[in-house]
Amino acid sequence: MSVAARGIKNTFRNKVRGSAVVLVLAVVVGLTLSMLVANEAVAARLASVHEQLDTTITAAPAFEPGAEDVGLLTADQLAQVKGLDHVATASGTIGGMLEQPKTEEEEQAGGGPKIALGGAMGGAKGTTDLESAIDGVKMGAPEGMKFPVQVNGTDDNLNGRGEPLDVTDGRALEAGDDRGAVLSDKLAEKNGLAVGDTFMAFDETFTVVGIAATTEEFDSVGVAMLAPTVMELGDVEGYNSIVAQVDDVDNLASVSDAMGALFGGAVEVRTESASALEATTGLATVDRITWMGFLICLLCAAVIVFFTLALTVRERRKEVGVLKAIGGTTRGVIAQFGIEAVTLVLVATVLGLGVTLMTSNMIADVLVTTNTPAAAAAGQDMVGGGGRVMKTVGPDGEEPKTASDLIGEVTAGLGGENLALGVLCALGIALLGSVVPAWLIARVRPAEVLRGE
Amino acid sequence: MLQVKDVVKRFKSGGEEIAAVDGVSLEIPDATFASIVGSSGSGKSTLLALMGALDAPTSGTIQVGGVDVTALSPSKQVAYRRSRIGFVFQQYNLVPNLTALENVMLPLEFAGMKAGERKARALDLLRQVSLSGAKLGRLPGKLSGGEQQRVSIARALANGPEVILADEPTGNLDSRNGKRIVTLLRDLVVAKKTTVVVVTHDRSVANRADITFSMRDGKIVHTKNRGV
Repeated sequence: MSVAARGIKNTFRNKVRGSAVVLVLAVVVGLTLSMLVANEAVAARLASVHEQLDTTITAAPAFEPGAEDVGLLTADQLAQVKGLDHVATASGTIGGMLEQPKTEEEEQAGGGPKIALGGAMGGAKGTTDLESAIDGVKMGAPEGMKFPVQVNGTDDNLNGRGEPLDVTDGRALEAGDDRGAVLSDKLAEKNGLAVGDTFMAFDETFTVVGIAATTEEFDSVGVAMLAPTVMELGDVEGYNSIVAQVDDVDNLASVSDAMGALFGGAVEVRTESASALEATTGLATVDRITWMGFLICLLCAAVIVFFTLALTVRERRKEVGVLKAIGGTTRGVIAQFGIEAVTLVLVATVLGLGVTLMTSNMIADVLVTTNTPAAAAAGQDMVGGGGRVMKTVGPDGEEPKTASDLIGEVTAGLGGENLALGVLCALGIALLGSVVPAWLIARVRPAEVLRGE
Repeated sequence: MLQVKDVVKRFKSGGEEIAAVDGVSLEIPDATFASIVGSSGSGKSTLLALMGALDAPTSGTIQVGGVDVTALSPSKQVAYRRSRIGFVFQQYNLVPNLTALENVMLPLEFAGMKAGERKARALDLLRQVSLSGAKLGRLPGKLSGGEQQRVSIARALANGPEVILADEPTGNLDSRNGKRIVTLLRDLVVAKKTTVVVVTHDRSVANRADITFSMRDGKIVHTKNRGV
């Protein structure tokens, strides 16, 4: 009979005690694995939510009716934003409005029904032969009301919301496109324009180099030009928004705070992922709780193995002495008891897997539910320090309902990887629990066998 | 030849140092049946442990076949016990959840013998001590005291030792079984040229020895040689 066979046989030498220890250990090992499985599920969901979160921060002069116009953001401020830690890219955009020249009849009628051309908070303004794609009547505006066309000057092919233009035909704007433009598909359709066609703006002729998909009724129903072109022709200097991309969603809050401090209260700093990020802090808490739970359960299992083995070694002290007396090495005897520990833990692990299957999802569910904050109502902006506005948007850009909606469902599954990890944990428990008993074995002197006769 | 020279073994007990073995010197020729007698606490079991390298003397030397066992490293002492010494204990000290056969195979496993060979060797040894059949598959608890002691002797003989050290081998046996065990040990001396050292209280066992050492307070107080 080999050392291994003897070790396995010895595990259940005392059937009642062996079974009781295995059952208790099975529950603890099961909980250990449950915590591990729940932790992995939560960590995976957390990573997934983070991946989906938008890392864009937009800074724009605060606009309040009656308040003093703070002017445009400067190139220096753009450079300062670019220099902030964790800012991957930053670019400025200058917005503006283009209106069709008034007809003679409209001049005579005192201007006619038309939206006032406010210059979009200090932005550019000019004339165009483009007709707005906005259906005013559908929106409840009086018949005949003309809407201006929004123009967006950009260095990096961004739309008015700081999102990349989705060019579906032609190409994006390139350096040197001083009289080139990308039109939204709705605007191009309204005006019967295609790539290569021309239109008038700022009393200059522009060529359509690309058509971009319209994603939002107002922001994208417009035309994109290079920022220097809009500044030059619109006679403005500066940007009315700066869009920064943060390197990691975890740095969103710190960069947002840094930008808030940089601009002061007169500039709104917005991040659309703020509430989603807040919801994920609950998930991060669960991540930590399950990890701690895993370590505590692992320690408990090791303590159970330790006491069981320590008791066994004490009880079988004489046997240890005899084995040494008849030629067994200390290492061999320790190996025998180590195999007993491994057998004990492996049997408990097999049973514990059942506990894991039953409890892992429940544990993850309870922890996620109790640690997820009730989110802000749909569409409600959250105001941060310095008057910064943080708009609540779900991870996929949908309107949010609760934090749970943002997080989605966390499903804990016992996969092959977890199973392998479970076996490794079991071996770790056996190893941890065997260290002191092994030391006790090493201390047993075979002479004690004779002395006890 | 087993030579013990000026061996002292001191223990600390309750802050006081006591000499369990106090300057013992003796010689036991090869193939001799020797006995050590003395009252409880006279130091005879301690002396046996020292001879078997189960414990280290405070001073003095013990030589077996010309090898100073007190100078061996711990790992070499294990090898010495495994290959040159066989132990027989009063309480038999068989591993309780191993069968009689498995108990005898244990030292052979420690010596690195292959599974098939050790089973054949163990069966042969058990046959030599008159154990066979169903009893070989029984756990020690299912065997009588005499049978357990015979298994113990078979285990002691497993690796062909030069010396068998037996501590009160008949102490738990009735007189009939006691006599059988002593006869068995005596036969080993003749048949295998093994040196047997028996620690005993029993005068009848001591009287069957070729040489008897009487101990008192850790010292050899009398030696009776019956014609070695």
